[in-house]
Amino acid sequence: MGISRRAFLAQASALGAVASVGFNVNIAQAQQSDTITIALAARAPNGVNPQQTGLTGGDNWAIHQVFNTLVKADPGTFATTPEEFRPSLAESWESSDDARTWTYHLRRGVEFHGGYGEMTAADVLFTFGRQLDPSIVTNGKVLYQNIQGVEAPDDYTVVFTLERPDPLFNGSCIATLPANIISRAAFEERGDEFNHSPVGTGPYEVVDFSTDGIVLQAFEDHFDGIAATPNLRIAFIADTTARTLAFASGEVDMIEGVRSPGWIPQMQQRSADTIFDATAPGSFNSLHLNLTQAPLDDLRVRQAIRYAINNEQIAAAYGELATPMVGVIASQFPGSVSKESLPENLRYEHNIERARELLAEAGYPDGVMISAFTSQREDYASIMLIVQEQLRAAGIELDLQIIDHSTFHADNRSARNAMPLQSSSYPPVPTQPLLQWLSASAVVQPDGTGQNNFSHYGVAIDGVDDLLEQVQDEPDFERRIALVEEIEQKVLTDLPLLGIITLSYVIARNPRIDLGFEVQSGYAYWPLNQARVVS
Amino acid sequence: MTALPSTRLTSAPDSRTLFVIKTVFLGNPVTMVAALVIFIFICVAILAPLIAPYDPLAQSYLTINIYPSAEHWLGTDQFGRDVLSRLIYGSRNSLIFGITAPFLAAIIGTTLGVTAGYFGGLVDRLVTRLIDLLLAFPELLLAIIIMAALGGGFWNIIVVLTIAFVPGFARVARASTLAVKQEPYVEAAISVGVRTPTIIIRHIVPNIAAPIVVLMTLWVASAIRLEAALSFLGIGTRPPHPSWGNIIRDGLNNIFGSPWPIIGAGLAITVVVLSFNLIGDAVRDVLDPEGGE
Repeated sequence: MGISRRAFLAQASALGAVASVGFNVNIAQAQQSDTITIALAARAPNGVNPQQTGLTGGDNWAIHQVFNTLVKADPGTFATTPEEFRPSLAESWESSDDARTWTYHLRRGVEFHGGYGEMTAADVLFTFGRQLDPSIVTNGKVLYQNIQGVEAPDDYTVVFTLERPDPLFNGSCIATLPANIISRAAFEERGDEFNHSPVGTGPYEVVDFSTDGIVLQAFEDHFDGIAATPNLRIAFIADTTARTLAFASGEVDMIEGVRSPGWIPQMQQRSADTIFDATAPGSFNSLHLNLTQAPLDDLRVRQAIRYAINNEQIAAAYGELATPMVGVIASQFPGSVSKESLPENLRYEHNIERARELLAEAGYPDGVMISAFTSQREDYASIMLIVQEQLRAAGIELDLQIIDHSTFHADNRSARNAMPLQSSSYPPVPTQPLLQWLSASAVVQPDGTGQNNFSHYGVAIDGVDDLLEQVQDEPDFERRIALVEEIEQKVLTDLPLLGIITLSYVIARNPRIDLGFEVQSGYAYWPLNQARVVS
Repeated sequence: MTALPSTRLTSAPDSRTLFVIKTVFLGNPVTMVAALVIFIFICVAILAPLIAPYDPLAQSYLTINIYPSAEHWLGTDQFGRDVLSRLIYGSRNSLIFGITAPFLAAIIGTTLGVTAGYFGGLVDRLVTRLIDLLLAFPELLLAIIIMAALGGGFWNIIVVLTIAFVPGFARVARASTLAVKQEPYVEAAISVGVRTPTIIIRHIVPNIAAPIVVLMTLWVASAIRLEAALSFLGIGTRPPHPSWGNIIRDGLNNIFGSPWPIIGAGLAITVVVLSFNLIGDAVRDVLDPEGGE
């Protein structure tokens, strides 16, 4: 009966937890004003080295405070066009007319943490040299494949030569997280230890790294001036309830939000003045349909699914966090298509009758069953449960298994999922999702060696590979975008993947913290060097 | 408890059935209440489509996380689904698994145990090793291992729960068979040349039925709990179909939105498991007075 007693305890404690929720914990006032704490949804930090693989969202936050890239977007935004990039470690830059040679002029007098001296072209060469060396395993290597070579004519100039033109080189390579400039001297001296005691040029330096979190301290010699708040603590609380309680009690100032329907209204109900910083568009959530599996190999079934899924309704469930998608690329970004710009037959306005007709034509007048699995992470699980219910109305039964997040990704990679929902964040570089999801060379393989083309588009049926080649050879930004829109139309015709919604990355912030800027878009992390306690 | 007969069951248990039922259910008001609770839950499960106020799967985004009201007695969850309807439909899963699995396990386990106990020798050694092997794992761990290999789904859950319970039945059946086999009436049957299958069915099985029945009633509660645990871990009943376990799981992420799914399902599990345990204890007291602690 030992187990029985344990089960009883478990149930009793669940009730206890429920009871404790009833208390309305007010946000505690006036903590120390020299420290800001942010808690992210991960178990523990893995490291603060931008080139390290397996980084969590919390690690990215730390890296973003500790290092700098050559150029950057304005805080809380993405630079969607080439003109919107701002100087950072590079003071100025220019590209050749064919967009294949990019020259950066470095800022002088930028100091590394810990007395590692001035940042020069040697450090930039070292950073990119590691990314370009195929024998070194680094984070995000695939992003830099287009770089043919990097040279430094002098200590303050760096020249990149590209294989193919890239008018958005700043966005696709230079301003990405793994392209943060690391100190060559420190890296060579510290080796693997660099992961836990990194040396960058950023406004904060790492003073302590443990499983509890990462402690950062303002770097006095930062080239852009000292950070507004002396101490920054990055905490890791994976459990959503525990994280929310830590925020409600005032123990932490900012937490990573929970991306499930109704979370923001609940938080607002508890304390109305909580501020929500959300990126738009945030992550792209797309449903990939495996073209090698029946019944999804039948275009009519895919069309039926498209007609049955109501993106607007799913987006509405998430309130202001979500926007409905039309094609592959988020509507906020160049290259996306809008319903108005599409021909009638590619708009796929929600229509259950039409879905049933198409299913009947495909030979499933009594409906059809499709087995798939998804992750237990709240955003994946809740989107798929809504999709499942919408498909049910059209007679498509989705036999859905909800499994552990890392198993889900591993099984997707092994081509086991008929209908994986994929949530990914992309910068406004339209070629990135297209190449990763729809090019024949990225097709998923049963032995796990493939990449993220889960639909087998371009392999199972003709895809968009020719158009993708053209896009990549096109140096002009505007013409490139026109080609991308053409790809979008072709994808809507063949339906290998369905854009569902974009879902914001959201941080709940205690109103006593002032960020110094407004979060609009951008990656799932932002600078905290202007953040201060204002109480 | 009430005064209980201290004689061992002999070869005619049928004559005592009525007495057993009477003693178990009427002997103690607590047990009566437990029986009533189970009766109500069984009725709810059978009549679910008639009494559930809403479709348990229907989502509605205009009414998410509503607190209990006249329209939704236990409120709604983060998808706008009616919590009460989900609990009512969830009782079907819990009771079907809770009753079917111990029943199947009892049949299989008893067959294995009686075979091992009656024939002895190599058969006995093989069966006991197998039982020892399975008993080495806690039920929940064993269930998780098999579930991970088979995947979810209705029949897989039945298979998993059955396998998890078979060794317990087999062990009890074997031990009881070893005792019964020494009885004079079995030796008499053997000596007058009654065929082995007849001996097993007519003389052994009826005499070991009591502990098996006790075990079965006790394990209904365990099966319900185990199914809830598996569904809570996401490897039992698949969403969107409700089971008490996955209602708690769904509710956990939304505990600030609406705690009612967790409260409701938690209470339902507690009450039903407690009721089955009370009845199991009462049945044990009546059928197996020497085994009580």
